[in-house]
Amino acid sequence: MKPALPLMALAAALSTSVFGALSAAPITDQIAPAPIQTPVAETSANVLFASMPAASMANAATPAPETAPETAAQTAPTRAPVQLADRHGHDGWFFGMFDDDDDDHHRRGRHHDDDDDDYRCPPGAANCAASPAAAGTTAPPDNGLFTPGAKPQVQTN
Amino acid sequence: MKSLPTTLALSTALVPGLAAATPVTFTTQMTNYGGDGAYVAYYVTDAAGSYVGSLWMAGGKAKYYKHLAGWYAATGGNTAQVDGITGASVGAGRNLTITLDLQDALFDAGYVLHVDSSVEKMSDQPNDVVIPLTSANLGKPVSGKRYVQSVTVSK
Repeated sequence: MKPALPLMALAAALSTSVFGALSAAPITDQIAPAPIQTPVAETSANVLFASMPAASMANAATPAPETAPETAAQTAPTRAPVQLADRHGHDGWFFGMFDDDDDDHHRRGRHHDDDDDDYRCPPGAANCAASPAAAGTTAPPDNGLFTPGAKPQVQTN
Repeated sequence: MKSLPTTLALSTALVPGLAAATPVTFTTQMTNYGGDGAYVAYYVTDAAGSYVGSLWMAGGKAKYYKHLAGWYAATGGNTAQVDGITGASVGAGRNLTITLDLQDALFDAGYVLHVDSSVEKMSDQPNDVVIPLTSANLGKPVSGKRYVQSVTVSK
């Protein structure tokens, strides 16, 4: 049995070296790069919200690189950028489900939080830019519904 | 000049009905829709569906009024229509009570109360509540479609 021990030790050393060398071999050449997503049009904010992962919030605020789409896909492997038909986001690209500009008011039927924006009246609108006088500061409008001079009373619970 | 007092006296005698007014209370219960304060517009149309006037506007920023689609279409967003009858927006689950001195002729004459509502980052709801202004409807809660749970008109 004694002569077999060195042989076994030698075999073990050789197999370990060969296995380690194979494990360390680069394999990136064998894998094709991920295909670039085809640009798609933005469809619905509800659809976007419904599939929005929480982790992509951080990506939403990250400016997109100005390089080619292939480079962008390689540097952000977790989520490829999608080009929007109406050029939302930075340079028409956004990451994840949110764009971070303040033009949400373009979406029909939705409020927006652009308090700092300059509000522009739609064409044909009359006196729409000025905020109305609060109740109690002036009489109700003379529209034939109110008793002249009466002030409304309001309570919120 | 003698004709002026005579004219005033005659016109007052001819329209006693229009001068009669009663405090009318509109009690609005909001649903727990889970969003920011709602903008709510109360306005009246006549039997033909034409806009007559506004009764109340909950929400003071005119730039959001376009989301109250029915009211906006009727008024063109003219904020003079809600001067003196504008208050704060109404939060989810809250109760808003408005008491207005209205002409008696408003009831049982084909007039209809419309309530439009809208919430930031949520969809708009024109005609959330529609109530014919009749004596029969007084004191009865009328259910809303979305942000408004109910509106009750009472004298």
